[in-house]
Amino acid sequence: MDSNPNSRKKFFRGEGEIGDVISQAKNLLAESEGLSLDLQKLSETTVEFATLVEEAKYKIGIRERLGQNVDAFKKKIGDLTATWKETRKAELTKKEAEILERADALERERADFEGRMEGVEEEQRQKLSSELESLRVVQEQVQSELGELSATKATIEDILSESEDEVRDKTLSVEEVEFLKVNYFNLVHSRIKQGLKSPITGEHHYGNWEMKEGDGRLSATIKTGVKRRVAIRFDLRFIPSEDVDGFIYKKIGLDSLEEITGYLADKKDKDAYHALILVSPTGWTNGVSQRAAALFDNQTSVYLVDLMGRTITFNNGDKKTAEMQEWFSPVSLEEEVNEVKARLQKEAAEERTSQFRADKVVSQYGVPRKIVVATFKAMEKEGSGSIIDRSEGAKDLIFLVGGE
Amino acid sequence: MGLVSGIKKALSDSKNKSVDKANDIMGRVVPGYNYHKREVRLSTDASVRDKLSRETAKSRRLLKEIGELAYKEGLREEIEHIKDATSTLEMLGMELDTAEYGNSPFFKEEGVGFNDVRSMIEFDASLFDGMEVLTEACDLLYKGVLDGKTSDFILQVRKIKKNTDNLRNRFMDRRDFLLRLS
Repeated sequence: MDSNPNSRKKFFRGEGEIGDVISQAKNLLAESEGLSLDLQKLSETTVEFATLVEEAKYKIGIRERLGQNVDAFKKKIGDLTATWKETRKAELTKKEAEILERADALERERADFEGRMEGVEEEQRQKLSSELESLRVVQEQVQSELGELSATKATIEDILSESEDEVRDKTLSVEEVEFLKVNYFNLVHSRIKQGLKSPITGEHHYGNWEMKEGDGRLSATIKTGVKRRVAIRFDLRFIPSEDVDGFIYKKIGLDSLEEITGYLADKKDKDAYHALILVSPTGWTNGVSQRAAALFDNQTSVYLVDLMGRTITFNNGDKKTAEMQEWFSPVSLEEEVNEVKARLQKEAAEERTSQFRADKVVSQYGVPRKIVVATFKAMEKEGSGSIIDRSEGAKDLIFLVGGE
Repeated sequence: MGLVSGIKKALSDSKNKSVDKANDIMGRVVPGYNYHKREVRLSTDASVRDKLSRETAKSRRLLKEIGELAYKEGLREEIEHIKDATSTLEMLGMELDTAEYGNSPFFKEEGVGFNDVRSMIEFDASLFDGMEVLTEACDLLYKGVLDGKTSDFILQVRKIKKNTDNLRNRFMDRRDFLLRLS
C-alpha cells in the first residue's frame, strides 16, 4: 500500500505551492501592459524611420535630377550669353554708328542751308527757314533715338556683366518654385488664423475664416450678418512664368495687369474689403511694379509678391493697403527680427553705438515699429543689453547695448 | 495599475481634455464609452456592466472546471471553498446584470458635473482592472492544479473570494453613488 495518500491523486497532489495568485495576476497584467506600450513605441519608431528613409530617398532623387538639369542649363546659359554678346552687341553698335552718321549728315545739311541763306532774297530766305525748322525737328528725333539707344545699351551691358553663376542663381527649377510656393502659402496660412479690424468699416472681426485652397490659389473670407455678406476677403494667386526646360527665370510682365483689372471690376459686397495678392517666384517687371505702386481702389488693395527677392510691392500712399501689407509679406516675423538684429549688432560693433531708440531705428531702417520692439525684446532675452521704456523716463523705447 | 493609472493620469489634465482622453482610454475596452453626452450615458453604463458580467462568467467557468476536478478526487473541503467563491461570483454577475438605476439623474439630466463624470469613469476603471486580475488569478489557480501544486489551494481560493467580495463592494459603491445623486 502507498504511504503517501497524495500519490493516487492526479491533480491535487500537493507538490508545492501555487503562490499568491492575486499578486501574480497583478504582476502579469502590469508586465503585459508594459509590453504593449513597448510594442506601441516600437511601431511608432518604425513608422518614423520608414518616413525618414522615404524622405531621404526622395531628396537624393531630386538632388540627382537637379544636378543633371543644372549642368545642362549652365551650358545653355553660357551658350546663350555668348551668342548675345556676339550678335546683339554687334547689331547695337552698328545701329549706333548709323544713327551717328545720320546725325552728322543732318548737321552738314543744316550748315549748308545756313550758308545758302546768307546770299538769297527775303522770300527765298523764309522758304529756306521753314525747311531748316523741319530739319531741326528731324535732328531732335535722331538725338532722342540716340538717347534711348544708349539707355538700352547700358541695360544690356549690365546683363552682360553678370557672371554665369549670377544668372544661374536667378533661375529656379520647377521643384524650387514649388517649394517657394508651398513655403509662402504656409506662411500666409499661419497668419490667417487671427481676427482683424476691417480697414473699411473699422469693425473688428474674429478669426472665423473660411478658406479654399488649390491650383495655386488660396482664398480666405470672413462673412458677417444674417445674409452672410463678405466682410473681408483675401485672394492669393500664384503666377509662375513659363518654364524653359524645367527652369523658370522670367519676370512677370504687363500681361498680369489683366488679372488685376478683372479683379477690380468684379462686383463686391458693400463695405467689403478685398485684397488681391499676386505671387511670382521670379519677380515683376518695372512696368507692373510701377502700376501696382500707384493703384488705388476704395475697397481693394493689390499686392505683388516677389518670392525670390523676398519683397512686396503695393501702393504705400494708400493707408488701408499699407496697414494690411504685413499679412502678406514674404518674410516671416522671425526672419525680419533676425535681419534687424543683425543690422543693429553690426552697427553697435562698427560704430560703437551704445543705445538704439525705437523711433529712430524705424525711420533709419524703414521697418515696422513692432519688428523693432520685437528685436529689442529678443536681444534683451539673449542678454545683449536691456530695455528702458517710457515709464523710466525715456523719450521712446530705448535698447541699451550691454546695459543692466 | 492598468486602466486606473491611465485614467488617473488622463484626469489630471484640464477638464474637457481630461474627459476626452479618459473616454479614449475606456473606449479601448468598451467601444463608444462616453458619459459626457446625455443620450449615450445609459447605453455606456449598460455596455460597461455587460463587459464586467462577461468577465465574471469567465472566472466562474474556470472555478467550475477546478471544482469538477476536485469532485472527481473526492475533496469535499476544497469543493466547499470553491462553491463559496463561485456563489460570490454568481451574485456579482447577477448584480451586474440586473442593476436598476436608470432613474438616476445622472442618466436623465442634460448637464452633469465634471466631478460626477470623473467619479463614474474612476469606478468603471477600477472595476475593469479588478475583474481582469480576478480572471487571471482563476487561470493561475487552474494551472497550479494541473501542475499538482495545491499545498496552498484553499488559501488561494479564499483570496479569490475575498477579491470578488471587494469587487462587489466596489460595484455597490458605484450604485450608491448613482442613487445618491438623486
